[in-house]
Amino acid sequence: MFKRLSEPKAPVTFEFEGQPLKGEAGESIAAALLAAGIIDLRRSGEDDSPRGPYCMIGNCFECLVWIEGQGSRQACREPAREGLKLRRHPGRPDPQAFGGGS
Amino acid sequence: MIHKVDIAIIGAGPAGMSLAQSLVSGDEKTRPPSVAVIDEQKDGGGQVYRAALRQAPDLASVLGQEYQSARPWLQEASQNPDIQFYFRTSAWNIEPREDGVELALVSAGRNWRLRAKRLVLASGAMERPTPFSGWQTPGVMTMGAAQTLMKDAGLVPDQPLVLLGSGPLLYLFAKQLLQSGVSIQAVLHTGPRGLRAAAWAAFWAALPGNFSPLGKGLLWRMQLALARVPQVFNVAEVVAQPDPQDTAGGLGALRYRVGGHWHTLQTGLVLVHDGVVPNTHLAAACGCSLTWDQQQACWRPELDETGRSSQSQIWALGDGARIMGSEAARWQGVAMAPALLESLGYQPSAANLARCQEAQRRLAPLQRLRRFLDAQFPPAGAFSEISDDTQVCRCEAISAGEIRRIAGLGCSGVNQARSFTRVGMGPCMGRQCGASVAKVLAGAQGKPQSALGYFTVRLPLKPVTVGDLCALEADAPASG
Ligand SMILES: Cc1cc2nc3c(=O)[nH]c(=O)nc-3n(C[C@H](O)[C@@H](O)[C@H](O)COP(=O)(O)OP(=O)(O)OC[C@H]3O[C@@H](n4cnc5c(N)ncnc54)[C@H](O)[C@@H]3O)c2cc1C
Ligand code: FES
Repeated sequence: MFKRLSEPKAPVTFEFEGQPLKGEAGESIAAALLAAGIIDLRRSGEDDSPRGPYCMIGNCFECLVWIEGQGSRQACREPAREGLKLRRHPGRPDPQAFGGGS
Repeated sequence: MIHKVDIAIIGAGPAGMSLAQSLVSGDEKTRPPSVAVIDEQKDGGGQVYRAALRQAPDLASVLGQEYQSARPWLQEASQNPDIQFYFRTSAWNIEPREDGVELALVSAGRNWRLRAKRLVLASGAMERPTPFSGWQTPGVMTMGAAQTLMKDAGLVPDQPLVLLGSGPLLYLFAKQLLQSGVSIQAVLHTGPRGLRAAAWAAFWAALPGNFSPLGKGLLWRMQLALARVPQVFNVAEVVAQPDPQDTAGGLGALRYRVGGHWHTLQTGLVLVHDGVVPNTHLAAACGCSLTWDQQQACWRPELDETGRSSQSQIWALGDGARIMGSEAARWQGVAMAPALLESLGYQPSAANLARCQEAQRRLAPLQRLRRFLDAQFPPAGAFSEISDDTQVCRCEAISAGEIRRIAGLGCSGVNQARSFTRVGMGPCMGRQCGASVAKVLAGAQGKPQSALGYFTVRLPLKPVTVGDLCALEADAPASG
């Protein structure tokens, strides 16, 4: 989907759905996932259709992703950090399955 | 403890940065007012100069001369010791009070409050929503989003893509993509090939004093033509279709109509743009009156000639006040400083007043340029004829057909539509759908769009966690 013009200078490792991925420290989680070819970060809570980043400036909320221990976050506003564990945001959140958070 | 300043500015784009700098650069004898600048980005620059202060050199030539030349003055403003900067900080509540405003802010999990005698909204624009059937499919993004990925993270598309829409940013971004070696499969223009009949007079009027920007626009158009990218004009309708084989549900094809004929492009990435509109979320939340701008077909805060809103302690400038472009945003900051200082009882310095006059002079040709751009790039046909199956509200998955149904039941405006259908009640809080809902209601009832109103904004303005809320009353973080 998207490629990097240069290799990360400060690489971090994180997980999405258990899959280990590399990103650049401080870039948005959405950027790191798009660079890894992942575009469907969530399912719609209404019609369960796949959704992904749309505006990248914090307006549309299509990029919601589930951060373990933190809950639902906008992937375009949240920086990529070492050790983050991310899940695809469920259509209808099930707190049991997602281990709390807010 | 509540932190107190004379002036708080939300937004560190060209408007907010130049205003902050002008406010503290009076003469040496007078004590400058205390000024705080708040922005949720990592550093200054706003949308247009996003990441200019930390951009890797490999992108320098792609992003262009204007982007590069912003770096020195942004740097100088960012290092001004008389300005307190709070980056990675969002304003989630604004409470107008008799003697000023109180802001609730969150910076990296720290919740704190700031009291200011004046609040200036320099919070910029957002891309005009472009509803069409299937636009919620992953793989459909805005051009601004792709450009943000380029500026912020050095990412470019690695597959052929389609550009769809209209506006100067389309040509700029096409140039930037070609220069980074990205293959553009096609450009689908929602407007005509040449100048619109209605834009000629404005074009001639804009020419004096605007050779450089108009010439640049012409050059971008030529570069696109020379690259032999297929271009289609007057696209009147589009439908995005997911790839049935893709488990991620990503985009597979884009169908589009020109005249009476439908065509199909197989593509996985479509970047859409239809100009920008003021982001009025904060102004509406503060209770500032908004006014309908017929020429730009959008709401904007109602302001007097100095930039003061209907709430006398709240001012606004830049593209968040009215779309005028980045250069105008910067000059507006210079122009606003004397009046804002006077409203607080400060005597503007002679240097300040002279700079203000220069700014007024510089703004005049930019106003003529904007009149031309507004006439040449009005909101596009393909996104205004909204089909029944288009999700106008993406968060709540509510279609234009549903809005037309309630229009038939006598729904009187966007706020009533919210109670009827939950439209605008999702996480984006109506930022994306307000204008489209009004447009569909207006069309169905034969009323002007401005008669349908805008969503009442509810708290919090940005998502905050219960944890953040419980931590209220933290001291101000160190500025910088
Ligand atoms: C995505 C996008 C890309 C653009 N790219 C270009 C371009 O390449 N070239 C060009 O000429 N024009 C571009 N524009 C047009 C843009 O509006 C410029 O004209 C210019 O950036 C306007 O300057 P400004 O200072 O008024 O606002 P902006 O530059 O938009 O700055 C506003 C700032 O306010 C901050 N902000 C907003 N709300 C809050 C809040 N609640 N809390 C904290 N901070 C907040 C934002 O983070 C932002 O940094 C773009 C617009 C958008 C939306
Ligand atoms: S992509 Fe729009 S809010 Fe993140």
